[in-house]
Amino acid sequence: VSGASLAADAPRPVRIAELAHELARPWRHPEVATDEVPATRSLMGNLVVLCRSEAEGAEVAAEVGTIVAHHPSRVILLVADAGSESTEIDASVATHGRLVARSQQVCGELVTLRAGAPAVRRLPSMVRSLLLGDLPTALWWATPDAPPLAGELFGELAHLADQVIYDSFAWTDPLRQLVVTANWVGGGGDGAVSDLAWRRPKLWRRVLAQSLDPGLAPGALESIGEVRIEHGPHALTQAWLLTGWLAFRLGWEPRGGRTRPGPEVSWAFEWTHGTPRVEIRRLTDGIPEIHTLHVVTKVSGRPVTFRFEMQEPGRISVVAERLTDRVLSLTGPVQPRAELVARQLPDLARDRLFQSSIALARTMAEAVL
Amino acid sequence: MAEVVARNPLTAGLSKTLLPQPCTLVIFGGGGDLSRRKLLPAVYNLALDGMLPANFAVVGFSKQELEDDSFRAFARDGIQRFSRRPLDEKHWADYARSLFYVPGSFGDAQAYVELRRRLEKVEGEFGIPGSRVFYLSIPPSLISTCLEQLKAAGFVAKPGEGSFSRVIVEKPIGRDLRSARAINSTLAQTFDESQIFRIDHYLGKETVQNILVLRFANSILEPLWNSKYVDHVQLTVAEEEGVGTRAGYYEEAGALRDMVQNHILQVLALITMEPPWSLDPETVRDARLEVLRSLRPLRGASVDTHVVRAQYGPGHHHGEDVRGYRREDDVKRDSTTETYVALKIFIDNWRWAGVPFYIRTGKRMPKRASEAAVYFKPVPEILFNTNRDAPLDTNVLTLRIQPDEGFSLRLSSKLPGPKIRIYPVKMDFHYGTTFGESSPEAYERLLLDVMAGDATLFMRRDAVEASWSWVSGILDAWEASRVRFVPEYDAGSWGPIEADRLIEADGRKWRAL
Repeated sequence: VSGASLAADAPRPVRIAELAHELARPWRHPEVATDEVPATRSLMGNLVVLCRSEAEGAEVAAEVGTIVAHHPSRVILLVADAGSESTEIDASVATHGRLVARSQQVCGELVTLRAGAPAVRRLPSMVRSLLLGDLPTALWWATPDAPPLAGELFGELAHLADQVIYDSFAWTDPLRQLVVTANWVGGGGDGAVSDLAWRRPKLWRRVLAQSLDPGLAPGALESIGEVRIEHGPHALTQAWLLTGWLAFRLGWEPRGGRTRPGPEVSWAFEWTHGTPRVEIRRLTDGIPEIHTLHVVTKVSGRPVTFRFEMQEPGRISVVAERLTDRVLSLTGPVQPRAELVARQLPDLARDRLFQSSIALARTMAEAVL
Repeated sequence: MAEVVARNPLTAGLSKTLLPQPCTLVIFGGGGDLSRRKLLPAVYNLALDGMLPANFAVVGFSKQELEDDSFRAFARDGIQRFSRRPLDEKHWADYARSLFYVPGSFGDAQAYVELRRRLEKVEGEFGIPGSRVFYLSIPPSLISTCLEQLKAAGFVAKPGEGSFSRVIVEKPIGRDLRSARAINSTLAQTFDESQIFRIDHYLGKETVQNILVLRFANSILEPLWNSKYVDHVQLTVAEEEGVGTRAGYYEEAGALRDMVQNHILQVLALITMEPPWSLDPETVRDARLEVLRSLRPLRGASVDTHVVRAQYGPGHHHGEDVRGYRREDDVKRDSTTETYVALKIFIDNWRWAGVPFYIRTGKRMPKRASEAAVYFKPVPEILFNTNRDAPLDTNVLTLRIQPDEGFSLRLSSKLPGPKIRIYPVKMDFHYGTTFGESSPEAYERLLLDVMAGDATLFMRRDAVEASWSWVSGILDAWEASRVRFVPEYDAGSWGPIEADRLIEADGRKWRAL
């Protein structure tokens, strides 16, 4: 992130009735001593964030700076704490901005609303009053529920949003949650939907597309016989979505799957060129990413195994065994969660590739449930 | 794109620009300044962003006696000093492993034998299927030599063969129409037009690309984008620096050749072109070409009334005394090379009939600024605009190309209070602060486009020759005038008084930048 450094106020408690007034108040950068320096506000959208606990809320609040630095927004952070019996909604406001040349520029407003269980149902009405008109609204479901399982609260908030972002990273029952969510994603609607676990393996999709390209590896795509994926804890949906993408793009039809003793699942697929098999294995430790991916195939009729391995986050090595001796590598930016969200925010079109990939992943999940 | 997806279904959903094909980038002049300042840092940033294929390598080729390791040190130095992103030690090793160097003279056939040997070795190691991009970062006088040697050594694959050969040529493409045609003919003898990428780094800048988006993705602008609503347009490219170490080149070029013939006419074409029916490279380039062909010729006496040229004299730059142009090193004391040019030009087509385009570019200006400003016609002299002594400011849409990329719109607004007082306010958009991240360098985008085979942002032969053809009228008139001195302007000023008169004669003023 370039430009002048971002400054943020400490959150200041505000009475609900005074929220609008507080948000309209001119902001002053901490390094500006007078009111003479003009302040401008430059926001590109609304971001509504739903958390279920103070800990989740604190984590998101710490990420807001990164998000608004990339995508200036009014962020409405909802902490719907089911463990609290408070009937009140507490509000606070903080402003993020920069000092650029002789101008103070507001690029983020964080409104935090805390509600105990009895007050949660009132949150959507507050959100409605705080949204900036004429700007896109995104809902980030920053809690490890599958959004469609959250009932009325999700429905009301999603209704206000042009896109829904969720993260299947920490789902506790990922296969069942995947099936429910895939049904909801496929159920229509105009808004964009994105799972951060779909964005994370972008580098994997690119390295596969490049390495198996017919120009480079003739016949490799048609001759895939086996794919083996190993992933770390919490990266199960990444691996499933990556497999769903591969199978969807190559036209593979799932013909059956089974879980084996240990954290391993395998499927048989079928397509015009054969019956490829896919095995996904969960490692008990390591980073929560896809660790390795092996593709057993043929290039120009010769057996070749492509070994893709994550050397470190953002760096994948590629070895085409029996084709070339050299270890190649592909690097990409390492994006923490806040950056993934920020980069998703401008993508307001429905991602058909994601929809199709999750649909195929659902079929795979149903085969082993 | 559809055929790429059909060939490789895994590429669906990736934009064409994100699909650079495995290849080797061969930099002729790899040990030179452009390579160190721009090309190697650009490739490094692309690698950091994961934009390059794993099967990719860079081979530097130039007369400097470097080895692979010293070329890597040279690249590292360039990245440390000029890269958009700081050098990341973790990724440096991967990047460095893909850098190679072959020393040799561009005219020496034996050097090309060695180049071929190294390329084949590197391609074997990296699994690169023989596709090559030749970046000719060399003086124009050496282009023919290099092309002949490339052809003789069998480096050029025909389009449509399994692997590709592409060549990137830097401006200037010639110094007049005749020499441009000669270079283009030489290029055409070696490469098919579809393999030639004439680079103008201005076209890779974010704001320049945004011109098309601004015009054709917003319904409110295009209806106003014509002679009915636009009063005039001002294009400014101001440089702070003097001629510096480029006197040898600049003495032969001057501002008209160096800036107007390429950068400014290309930007003008983007601002004024008709909506293309698709974003296909040839369609967009056809639309730009139509503008160049519609420029009203400036010849003979009309050059005197529509063009002002000048040289910077001694003056002050940021409070420091600076020399005049003719006192710079390697500049002739009686030089008539212009360091500033201002023009008033017209585009004789239906859309722009009668709208003047005022262009100015110069060295040793008070600050660096490149922008295009579209001035809309004033509102009628009724209601709020009845005071002829203080007419309302008109609406102005400004597209800033550098250094602070963005755009702004000037509107009139009521000042708070019981009286009707109207004041101009500016709605301002800055790429750097709104999006919060640095835009990729123009060379990053353009190199990626070449690897993906997308020529939209590159100049086609007919466009280069059309712009030279138009500029030739002015050059010929200057040549014929045999002036012994051109007017001077103070270094650190906005140009000569003659340029002010050029625009003020029409009741308008240059923008204060």
